[in-house]
Amino acid sequence: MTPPSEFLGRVWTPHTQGPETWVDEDAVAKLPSDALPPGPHDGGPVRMLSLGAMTTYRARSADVADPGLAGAPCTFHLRELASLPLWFGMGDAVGKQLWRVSGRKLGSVDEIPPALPARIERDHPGFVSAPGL
Amino acid sequence: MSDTTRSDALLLLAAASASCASAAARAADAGTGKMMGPGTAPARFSTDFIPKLPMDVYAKIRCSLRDEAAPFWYRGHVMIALQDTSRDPASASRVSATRVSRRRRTTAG
Repeated sequence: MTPPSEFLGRVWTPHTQGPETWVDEDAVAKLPSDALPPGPHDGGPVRMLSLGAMTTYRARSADVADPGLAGAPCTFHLRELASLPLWFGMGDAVGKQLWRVSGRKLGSVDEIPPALPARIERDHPGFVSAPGL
Repeated sequence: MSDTTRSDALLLLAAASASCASAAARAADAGTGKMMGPGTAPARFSTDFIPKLPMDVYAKIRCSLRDEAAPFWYRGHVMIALQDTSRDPASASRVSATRVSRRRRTTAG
């Protein structure tokens, strides 16, 4: 029987310093590999994966305080330590992956950089137009 | 902001954080295992609202800009640290520095 996922998350108190406001978000989780979406890991034995992620979201203070905006544009920066996924193709190697990711919130899928939509459509047909979230 | 909205924000945190388990498809709804992208948000926010409480500020920064799921575009790198299991047990937990950065992968565009 596949063990259940475990999750612990925390949102820290936002900080505002002049024109910028940011908020930190931390998470640790354990989840079975079969909780991941269909993909290159299909068919492999179910393994428990662990991760720890620390993310900072940064926005303009004026946007946060603007009652005319339903949401504030932001950038984010993430660091994550996690198990090796099967799709890395590393077999039974023992180790961890350390991620650094930076990006920003987009207003819509139309803002996705031009090279990406075709790739997403190829790998996940229909996802961009109807992500089903 | 309603309690429902705060709840949505917390669920979003759960989904987006669990997403970090996979570089390909990020985020799992803890209840269903359904995968989502980071930053996808319920976007239940109305205008004429200035957030004051910490979770409201968080939610406004984290939520989508429109009343739809919003993508987060990102790119990054990964380092892989392999544990050297060929040595004696006493040193087995030591990460081989020579193997750090053995593989590097860039995601997104």
